[in-house]
Amino acid sequence: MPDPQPVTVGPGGVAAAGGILLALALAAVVLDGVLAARAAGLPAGAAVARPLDETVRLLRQRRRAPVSSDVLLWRLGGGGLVVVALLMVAVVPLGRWVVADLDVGVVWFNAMDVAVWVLVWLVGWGPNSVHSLVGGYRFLALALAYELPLMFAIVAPAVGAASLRVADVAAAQEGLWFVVWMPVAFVVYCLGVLAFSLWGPFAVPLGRDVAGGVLAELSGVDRLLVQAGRYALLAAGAAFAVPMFLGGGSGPVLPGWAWVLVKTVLLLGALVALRRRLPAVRPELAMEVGWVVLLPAVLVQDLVVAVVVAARG
Amino acid sequence: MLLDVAFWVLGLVAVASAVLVFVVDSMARATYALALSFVAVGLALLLLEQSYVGVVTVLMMLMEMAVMGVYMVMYMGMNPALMPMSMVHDNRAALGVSAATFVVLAAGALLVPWPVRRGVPAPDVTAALGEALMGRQMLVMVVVSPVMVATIVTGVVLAAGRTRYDRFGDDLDASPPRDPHRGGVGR
Amino acid sequence: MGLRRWVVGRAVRAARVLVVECPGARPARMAAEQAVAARGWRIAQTPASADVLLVVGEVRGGLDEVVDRLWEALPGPRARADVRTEGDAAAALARAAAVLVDGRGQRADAEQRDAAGAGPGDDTGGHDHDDTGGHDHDDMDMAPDGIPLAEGAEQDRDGLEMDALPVRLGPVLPDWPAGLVIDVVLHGDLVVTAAAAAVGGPEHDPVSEPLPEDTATVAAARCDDVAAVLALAGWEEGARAARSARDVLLARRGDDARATLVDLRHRVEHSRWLRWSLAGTGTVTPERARDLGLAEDVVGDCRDRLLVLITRAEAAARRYGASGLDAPVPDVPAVPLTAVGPLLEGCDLGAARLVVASLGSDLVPDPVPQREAAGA
Repeated sequence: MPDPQPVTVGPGGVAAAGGILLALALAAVVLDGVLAARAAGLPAGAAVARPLDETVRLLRQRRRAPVSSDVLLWRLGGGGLVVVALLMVAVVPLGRWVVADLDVGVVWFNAMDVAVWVLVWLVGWGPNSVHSLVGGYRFLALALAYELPLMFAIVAPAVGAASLRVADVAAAQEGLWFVVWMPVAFVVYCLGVLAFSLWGPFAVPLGRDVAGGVLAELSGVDRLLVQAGRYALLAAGAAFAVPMFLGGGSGPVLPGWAWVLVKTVLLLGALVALRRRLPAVRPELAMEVGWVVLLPAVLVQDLVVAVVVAARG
Repeated sequence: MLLDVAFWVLGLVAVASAVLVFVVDSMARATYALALSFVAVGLALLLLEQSYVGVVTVLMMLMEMAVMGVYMVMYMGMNPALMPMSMVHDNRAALGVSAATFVVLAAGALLVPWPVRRGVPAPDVTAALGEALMGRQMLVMVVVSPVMVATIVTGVVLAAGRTRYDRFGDDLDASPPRDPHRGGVGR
Repeated sequence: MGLRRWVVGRAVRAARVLVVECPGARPARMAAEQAVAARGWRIAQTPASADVLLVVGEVRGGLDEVVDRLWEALPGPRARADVRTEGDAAAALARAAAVLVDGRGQRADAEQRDAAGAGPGDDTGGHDHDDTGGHDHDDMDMAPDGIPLAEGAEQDRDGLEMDALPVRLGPVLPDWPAGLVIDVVLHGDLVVTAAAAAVGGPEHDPVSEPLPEDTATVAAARCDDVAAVLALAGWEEGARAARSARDVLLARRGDDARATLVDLRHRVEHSRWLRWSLAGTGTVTPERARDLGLAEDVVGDCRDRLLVLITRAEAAARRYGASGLDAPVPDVPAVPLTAVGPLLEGCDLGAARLVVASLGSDLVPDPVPQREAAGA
């Protein structure tokens, strides 16, 4: 049973939270590699060591800066993604513990996912390269399509729990997880997570059709940070879904923190597995779907939740 | 103590990055210096325990600056060569106006007899803020929101180069509409 | 010392290879990609992410300059390998690995580049780069660092000023026909004008020289075309299936390839998501095809042309499977280069890439009629 008044952890706990997030991101990398190897009919064993090899390779590789690039903004954008992911999980309670027990944690998460707009655009703008810039603009085009549905999707659990504190939202799901009676909001939320992590069908800002887009000019540690940031954002998005939709730490036998991790890993695995299966969402198509389909659908979901909450008194 | 230091640091960051807006010579840097300034203000509001206002400031300003950067680049045509460009115009008048504004605001802050706190803050300031904004003025809010949405839609419609007659033909019966790009819903 | 060797070994194990395919080197390129995968290495999309520059085929025409610029754009540690024929790739990659592992040589290379002021720069080439993070912008000329600013255009769909930007696409891009360059003018990411040309091929010959008579290789190349479209459409699973069909054809196992292709066709036809994603992208009407001198099978959108490409791959694989190596491959109508540019105008950059890939790789510089008359 999740404690409605979680304990704020000290500096050691903060470091542990960062470590857990990075471990989850690493698990996502490994899983992605294993799935790729299995699809290609190769032994999965090599995929396990792959993230280490790739990390070492990028650390050994030199950084580069194209002509007339805005190196400062470029590198700020690239380095910021991991930081934003860490700030996202700061409000996610792990059983009894939380890094920052913010009374508006839900809005905080939202503010952090908007920060991704800024960062990805800077990564695209910085190197002064056509494909990179197109990638940056593609992300903003997608962002305008997914952000409002995402916002209204996380409004649903907040209304259901009558609180913006993440721990309260988790505690309000005693007996019935929000995912059960807010399925539309959950699906839209997951689409938003895929989009702000530049993942799967929403990876068009770094698509092959724009020669890697925002990744086109990145090398060495700069590239490593952006790629790590993507996985960390995906992991943070999965972790935040647990208190919002999946009942937080509630579950039999295991302690609360273990359930949070188990649920996070399962959702993260599902999001990773989605990657290879679907073709890209072409950015020019996303806007109409976001505003004509997803936004009304999630608003109806919010209305239903609000009516139920009002009827309960 | 630590909070005091943090508060002052954030205040300094806010002011310094606001100054940077006019010092840097690139639109992208000016835009994001302004964003940083607003973020510092938002975080300072968090320290004042106005969590909701603080976080929403961060959220809205990041989003606005991201979009503003796009508009600036769009209209000034800076893609992708990063042409250096002065961020100040009409210096003398601007200096006069900003000095006057500063004097008025600073004088107000110093000279107004601020009321002394009576009672204690509400336990949940976010809820209290919502009550204060929405409670008695609910009717106003309910009226203002549709008017604002209508204004935005009207503005976009008036500004758009293409009308529904361009899209759907003179009898408004063309299907699918004649757009340079198909939308995702296939209309 | 042991640690350093361990680190370098790890790094080289994950190396990425930027493949430059010269016109006519398609079979060698496909074999080289297999060799890259066999080492556990990966293909890089851009020079920025590459450790190895693998040049496949004979560098001619303007390509040598391109290759030099790409070489300068590799961040380093870097190695260059040249491959002429199908069998060479594995040995060339092994040599490249040895160069990457050689820390002293790489340091010398890096120092020499830094001393020359070139550093790991970008592929626009010829300019010094600014590595300090700050810019010295005293000179208010209209071409900072030698790059002219974007200009305005008469006919501008979005009505913005100063956003007409001339860009050359190719000749080295992921999933891009060898030796093809397209000079486009972009408004934002919108292609406004486009003119295709060929570089690096013999003067008188097609961009892609006729494939060898070997039926299996032809069929593999057709699968490669399919893989290019699917990869650009962002569908990794589909692209991987097409590449695996290609690889089993190269390994002379035609039946397996046919089964894979039949399955792939089924999935492409029934994928609603792909239909939605590609519908209306690069649509060509029958009238337009006739005006541009294109064959009937380019009519439709990118998805229709993708299905045509799969049909061609299936036909080639079937021919190979049915009668062994000698059977002639069904001829494919070639696409004149002059028709490519007009098809891209009005597309955005990503859609333009899809359109180019969906036309297949049988591009010829001359209008089709002569070629058809010659029965090529």
